[in-house]
Amino acid sequence: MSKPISLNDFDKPSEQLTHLELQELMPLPPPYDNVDEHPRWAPLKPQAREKYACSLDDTIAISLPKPQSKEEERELLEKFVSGLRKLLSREDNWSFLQPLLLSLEHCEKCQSCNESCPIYVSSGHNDLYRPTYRSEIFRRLVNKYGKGQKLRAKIKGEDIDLNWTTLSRLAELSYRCTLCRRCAQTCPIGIDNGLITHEIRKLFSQELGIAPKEIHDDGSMLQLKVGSSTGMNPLVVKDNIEFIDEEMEEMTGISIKTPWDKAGADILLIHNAGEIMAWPENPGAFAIILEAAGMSWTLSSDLVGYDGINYGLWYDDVQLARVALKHAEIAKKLGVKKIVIGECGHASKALTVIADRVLVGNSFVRRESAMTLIADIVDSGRLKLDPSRNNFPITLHDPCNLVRLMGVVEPQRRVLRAIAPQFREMEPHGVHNYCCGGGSGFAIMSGHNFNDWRTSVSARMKFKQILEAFSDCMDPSVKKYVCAPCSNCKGAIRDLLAYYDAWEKSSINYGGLVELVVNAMPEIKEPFIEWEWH
Amino acid sequence: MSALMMGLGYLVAVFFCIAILVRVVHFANTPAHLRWELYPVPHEPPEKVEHGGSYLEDTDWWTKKHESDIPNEIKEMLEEILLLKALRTHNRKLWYVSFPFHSGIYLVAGFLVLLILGAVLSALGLVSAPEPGGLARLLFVHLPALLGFIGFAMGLAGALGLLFRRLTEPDLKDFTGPVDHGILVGFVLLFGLAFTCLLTDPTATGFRAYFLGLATATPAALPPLTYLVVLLGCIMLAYIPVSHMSHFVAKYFTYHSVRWNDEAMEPGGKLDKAIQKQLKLPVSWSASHIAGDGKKTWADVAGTNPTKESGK
Repeated sequence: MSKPISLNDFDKPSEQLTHLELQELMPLPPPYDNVDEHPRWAPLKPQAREKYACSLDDTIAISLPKPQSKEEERELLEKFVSGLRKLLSREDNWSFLQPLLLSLEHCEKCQSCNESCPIYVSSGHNDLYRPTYRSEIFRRLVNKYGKGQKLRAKIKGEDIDLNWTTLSRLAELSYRCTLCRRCAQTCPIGIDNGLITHEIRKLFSQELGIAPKEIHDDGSMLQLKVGSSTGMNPLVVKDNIEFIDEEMEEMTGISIKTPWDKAGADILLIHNAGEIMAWPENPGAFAIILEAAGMSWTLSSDLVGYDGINYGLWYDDVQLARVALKHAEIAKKLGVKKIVIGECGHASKALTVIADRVLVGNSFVRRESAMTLIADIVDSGRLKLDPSRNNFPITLHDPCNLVRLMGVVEPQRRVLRAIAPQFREMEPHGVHNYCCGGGSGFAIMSGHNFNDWRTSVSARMKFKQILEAFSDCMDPSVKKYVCAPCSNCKGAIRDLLAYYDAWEKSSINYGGLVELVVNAMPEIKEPFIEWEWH
Repeated sequence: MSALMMGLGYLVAVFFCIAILVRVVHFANTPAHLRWELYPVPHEPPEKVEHGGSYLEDTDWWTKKHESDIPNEIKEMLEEILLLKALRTHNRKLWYVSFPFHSGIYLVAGFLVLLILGAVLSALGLVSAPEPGGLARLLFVHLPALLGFIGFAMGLAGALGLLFRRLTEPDLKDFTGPVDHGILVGFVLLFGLAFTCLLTDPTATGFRAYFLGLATATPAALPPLTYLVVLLGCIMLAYIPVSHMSHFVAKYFTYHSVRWNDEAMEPGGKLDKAIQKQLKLPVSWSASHIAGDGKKTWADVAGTNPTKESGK
C-alpha cells in the first residue's frame, strides 16, 4: 500500500510525491488478473528527469521545463498569482465564475465523491488522485494568494506555500483527471471537482502559456493554422476523402462521391478529422448512410471546417471560442440548416452545449450530434438492414461528453437494439458510465511514459468494464466488438486493447457505430467490419 | 446581562439575514456562464429522466416544444433537502450521522420559528397567555417543545457522530482542520445544553421568555443555562453565513444554475443579449496566444487567429 499522502506534503520538495506499483492497482478480471503478465512501465529517462518538472508521480503529462534561474522561477510564481486573481474576476472569467466560486467556497470535504472516480479507484486508492485532493490544494492557494487571506489560512490550518514544487506539481496534477465529472454527479452539494481541474488548466494556459504540446501547439494552434490538428490542410483533406470514397466503392460496390462545400445543403457534417486519418471507414460509413438515406449534406473544405475537434474545451476558453466561431462562420457561409457533428464526444459537447453561449447574435447556428440523425435514419426504415450480419457480441462505450454531459443516451442504443442481436450493456452505463481513460486530451497525449500511466490507471476501469461485459464469451474464438461512438474514446480503447494484447488473447476489437450500420446493409456483399487489428 | 443578550440577539438576527442576503446577491449577480449541465436533469420529461436523457436526443429539437417536468424537479429537490439523498447513496457511513444532524437543524429551525411567531403574536396582543388545552398553547408551547426535544437530541447525536468521524476516519482527518473541529464541538455544546435546558424546563419557558423579550424589547431575566444556550446559539448563527456551512444557499445555485441549467440559447433572447454584453468585457489573460491587454474584449480575442497574428 502506498504511503498516505497528506495535503501538507504537497508544497514540500521531494523527488517524487508518490509512486505506483502495479500490484497496488485495482485488480483486473481473468484472464488479465496476473499482474506479472502486464506490461512494465517505462521509467522516465534521466534526460527528462533533468529537464522537466517530474516530482508528482511516475509520469509527465505537460513537459514543464524546470526554471533555469531564480528570476525565472519568481516570474512563474507571480504569473500564477495573477492568474489566480483573473480566475476570480468577472471580466476575465465570466465564462465560469459562478460555478467556480460555488465549488471553491462550499465543499464540505465529506469525500463522498472519491469512490466515483475511476482514476482514484484504479490507482488502488492513492490519496494523490482523490478528486478532492487537487481541489483542496487549489482552494488553499486561492484563499491565501488569490484572496490574500493569509492569516485565515494559518488559523484554519490550511496554510500552503506557493513555490516551484507546488506550482509544477499542481500543473501536472491538473492532467491526472479526465474531466469526466462523475465525481460532480455524486456530490450532495453540487461541488464540481472536474470544473476546478478545468479552471486550473485554464489558469496555466491562459496566463502562463503552459499546456500539453499535444493539446495546444499540435492541437488547437495547429488547427487554427492549417485547418486541422492532424496537420491536414484543405487540399490534403479533400485528397484523403477522395481516396476514402474510392476505398468505400471497392469495399462495398456502392459508388460514393462525398459532397464538398455544397451551398444550401441541409446538413454540414463535421467529423473529428482524426477519423479521416486513423479510421477512414468511419467517414466512409457516414457517407454511405447519408447517401443511401437521401440526405442533403456536405463537408466543408474551409480552414477548420473539416475538423470538429475543439481542444479548448479541456484547457482554454479563448481557444474554445475561436474554433467554435470558425465552425459557425463556415455554416453561415454555406447557408446550411444545421451542423451535425460526427462521432466525437468532446466536439459534440463543445459545439452544441458549451458554445451555445458563445454563438450569439449573428454567429448563431443550429447544431446537433450525429447520434440522433443516425438513429432517425435507422428508425425511419429508409435503409434496409439485416441485424443477423452483426451477430457477434457487441458492447457500447458511453462517451462522457455525449452522455453524462449532454444527455444523448438513447439514440445510439436505439440503433444498436435494431441492428445488433448480441448487444449487451457495460455496467454501469449511460449517464453513470466510466470514462474511457482518454478523456480531456489524454487519448492524444503520449509523451514520455504517459501512455503507461493512461492505459494502466485512467483507462483501467474501462478495461475492467469491457472484460466484464464479455465475460460470457471470453474465448478468443468468439470475435467481440466494443462500439465507441467517439474518436478520442476509440483512440484510448485502441491503445488499451493493444497494451493488454486483448485482440490476440481475447479477440476484442473496437470501432464506431456507423460501421455497424453499414455492416448490416444487405446490399453490401462483403462484411464491412474487418476483423483485423487496426 | 439580559439587555446584553437581547442586543446580541437582535444583532445576530440582523447579521444573519444580511450575510445570507449578501451571499445570495453575490452568486445571483455573477455573470451568465457557459453551459455546464450534468445529466440526469430531473426536469426533463419522465421518459428522458428514466435514462438521464435530454432534449438534445431529438433531431431538430428546436422545432419541438420543450416541456419541463417541474413536479419531478421539486420531488428531487425535496428528497435531497430532507433526506440527503446523494449522501445516502454515495456515502452511507457519513449519512448515518449527517442525516440526524441536518434533520435536527430543521427541527430546531421549526422550534425557533414557532417560538418567534408565538412571541410576536403575543407582543401584538393576538395571542394572550396561552391557556392549557388551547390551540395557541399547542402551537406555541407544546409543539415547539416537542420539536426542540427531538431536534436538539438528533442534532446532538449527529454533531457527536460527525465529530467522531472527522477525528477518526483516515479519509476525513487530513481534510478537517481545527476550525472544523471547533465548530462541531460548538454544535455539540449548543445542542447538548439546549437539550438539558428543555429537560429542566419542558415547556421552554426560558426560551419563550427570551423571544418575548425580543419581541417586546423588554429584557427578560433568564436562567443561567438559557443564557449560555442563547450565547452559543448566537455565535453559531453568526458563523454559518460566513462559512462553507452556508451551503444551503450555494446548493440552490449549484443545482439550478449549473447542474440542471440546460437553458438553450434563443437568438435575440435575454440570454443572447447578456452574453453579447459580456463579450464586450476586457480580457487581460497574458499568455502569448491571447495577449490580453485589458483593452481588447472577449469578442476581439475570440475573433483573432493567433497563428496568423504572430506568424507562428
